[in-house]
Amino acid sequence: MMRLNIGTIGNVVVRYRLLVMLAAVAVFGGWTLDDFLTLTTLQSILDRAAVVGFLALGLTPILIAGQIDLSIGSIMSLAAYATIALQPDLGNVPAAFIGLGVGILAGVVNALAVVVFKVTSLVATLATLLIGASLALLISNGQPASSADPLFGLFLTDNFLAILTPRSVLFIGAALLMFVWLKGTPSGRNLYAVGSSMPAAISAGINVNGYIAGVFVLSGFCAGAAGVIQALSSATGSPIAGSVLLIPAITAVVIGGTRLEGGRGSSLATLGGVVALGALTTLSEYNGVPSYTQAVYTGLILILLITLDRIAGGDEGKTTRTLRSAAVAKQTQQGGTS
Amino acid sequence: MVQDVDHGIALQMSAISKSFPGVKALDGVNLTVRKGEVHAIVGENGAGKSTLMKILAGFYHPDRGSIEVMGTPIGVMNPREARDLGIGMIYQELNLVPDLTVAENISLGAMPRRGPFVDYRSLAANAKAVLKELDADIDVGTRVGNLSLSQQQLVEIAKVVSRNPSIVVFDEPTSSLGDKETRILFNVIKRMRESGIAILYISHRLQEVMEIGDRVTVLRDGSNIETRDVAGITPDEMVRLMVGRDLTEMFPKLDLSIGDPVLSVTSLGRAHQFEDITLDVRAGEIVGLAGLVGSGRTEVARAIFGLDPAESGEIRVRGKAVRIRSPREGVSAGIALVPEDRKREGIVPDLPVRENFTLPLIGRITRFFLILAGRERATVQAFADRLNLNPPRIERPMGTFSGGNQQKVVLGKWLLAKPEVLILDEPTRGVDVGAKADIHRIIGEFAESGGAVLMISSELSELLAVCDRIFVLHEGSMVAEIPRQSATEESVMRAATGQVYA
Repeated sequence: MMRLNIGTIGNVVVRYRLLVMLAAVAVFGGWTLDDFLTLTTLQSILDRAAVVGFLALGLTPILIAGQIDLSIGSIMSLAAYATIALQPDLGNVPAAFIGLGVGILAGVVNALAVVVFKVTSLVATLATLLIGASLALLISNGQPASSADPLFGLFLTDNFLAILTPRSVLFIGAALLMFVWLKGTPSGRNLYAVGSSMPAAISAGINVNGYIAGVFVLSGFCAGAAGVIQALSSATGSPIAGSVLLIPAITAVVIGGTRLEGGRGSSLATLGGVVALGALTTLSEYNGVPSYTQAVYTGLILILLITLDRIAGGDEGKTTRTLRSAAVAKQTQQGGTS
Repeated sequence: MVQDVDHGIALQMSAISKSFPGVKALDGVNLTVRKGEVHAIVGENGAGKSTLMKILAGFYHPDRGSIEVMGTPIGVMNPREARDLGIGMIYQELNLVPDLTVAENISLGAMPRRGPFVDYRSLAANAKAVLKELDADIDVGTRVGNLSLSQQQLVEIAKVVSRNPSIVVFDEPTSSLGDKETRILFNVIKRMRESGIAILYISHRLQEVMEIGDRVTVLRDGSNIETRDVAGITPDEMVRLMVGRDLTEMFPKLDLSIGDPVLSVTSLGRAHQFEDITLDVRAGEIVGLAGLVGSGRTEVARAIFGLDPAESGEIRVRGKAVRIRSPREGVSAGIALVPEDRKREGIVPDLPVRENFTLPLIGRITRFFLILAGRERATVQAFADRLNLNPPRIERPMGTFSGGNQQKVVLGKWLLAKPEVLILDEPTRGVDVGAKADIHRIIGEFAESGGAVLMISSELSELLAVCDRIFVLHEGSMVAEIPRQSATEESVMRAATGQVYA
């Protein structure tokens, strides 16, 4: 009986995790601060969510496909630096497009490593994380580039309809677009099959390698977009702009409910995860809580959510399936040689 | 009947009942197992076999009823306590660590020690002793991952036997074994029986039950229908008890008019697997591909579909030469494959039935790149009903369905995609009789509509009943083509074992 109760409560908390978090933030914020529950606070939360939000959005299809991309922070740094450093030579707009191109190019490199050279995505993107981070520092000599035209990107953080800013509109729009792609189109549907059971997807005639390559390129593009937006709105191209954002991005995706093991997830969940995490950060800052303390409770929330997810009955049978496939893979292989 | 061993009662399960939300899985089941007997348990999927065994293994607790092991009443127990009581389980899925050696796997969890270190000498000695007892010739220092499936299963059995169990449960142990491996397994089971171990043997293969079983208990809808001596029962009677009705014809064969060749394969080859394979399948025809495990039959099927593409030879579909180097090209050439390994390659367990169904053809149910959800649901629901999907819930995750129903969906998804050629690799393995009849009906209907079927099965009786012609493979070569009229179990087996077919 006891177990059933925890399971039921867990189920509710897990399903409405983001609302629960946001409600908790609102209640606590309203209780501790006089001016917390205002539209300005909401606008600030959404605005600040945009950059890490693009990283998290790019990561979402990656995780659904059962892959990981650790290099997004480094890609973002490279893109951010390129966006500003190339402004004097190319002009503001072309430089921004180069920033996006850098992201796509880095995504292509990741895709090649994973699909063509068959390096596990964890290792491949660990390598490109290191390479990208050093490259950014080498090219820039470790110095951030400042924009000669600092007013150009300022509009990105302007007020828009009281609670939005242009860059948060971009982020929310991208999340909605991705939602339609993932849930509404055949290729989105196939991506879930790829992440859930690659052998079954191959047997159904799905071009699995194509999908995996595609999500890496998309992830690179999104990291590039994060870099461009961050650089333009701050008028600075920092070669370490993205280096601290990888972990918050992964955290936001997982809090949203996308599964690290593949096959489950949603871009709206990621949108919610980013906003919930952003709200928590904003609340902490308003209360003067140091950022290293925030990391402690972010970690605790993560463990709590995953534990509740298990109790609520998500992941049973995962291990047995792996063992079974291993046994049968052996059998297929043996049938061929004997 | 059993010979000269102690006939005492090893296990007594009385009036066991177990309900899950919405389902009464077991309803007052009684089961008595003697020492030194092989007690078979048969029943359709969902009859309660697995639940009963999971109670015995300590995974579930019965709502009502009592269990006595070797005369001692057992209260609530967990899996570890069940193991300590001498109850050993051997599942379809093996539970071995591929990177450890045979000896380490056998003693896993109970490593002999010398001080803080593993005592490798007695570790090896223990393993050798157990394997000798089972008459299994396996080097105890080999990595388990390097063994064949059949050898791995022997290691699994050795692991259980090394704990001196009094009761051992075999759950569908032969479902992935060939005839030769099955022989070896049966010899091991006989040895265990002689040493007084009570054996519970669960299988869908009634011939095996006839061969290895001493007594058989039939379960149906969570109740035990009857326990009989195997000596006094026929497979037909067992089926009747299992389904509660007569299945006059287990494999109804439709007489169809055979048309032009749909699939023609010429001199197909793939290094170290098969060579010079030539075969054809005509419209409305069901052609069997027989052979022992390792004969290359699965490899030929996978090559035709493009999973492991052929390196030489030619494939024609309706007379047109096609290049097939990936399943994608196989699908677009009009070929569909129901793979041998249903759980790994056939289904996506986490996705709902609906999405599994439309996996190969979702691109056709769209408008402006968007999936037409309503049409998808209607199409799938109609098809699921035609296939007798049970329960008919197309939004439930595929992994929650029984094997037979999963297989119906795998078949159904390809039929929905309307292929020219349907290749079936062990389509009824591990499937209960009711679902088996449904699957045969579906295959028959596909042939009736002019489709060509190429079917692999380890069950010769199934091939003989269903197929118009049978091709036989032996060690990667085609050794015989036997028409329906002259195909017998003997003629096929002789060809499959490499004796010249006359």
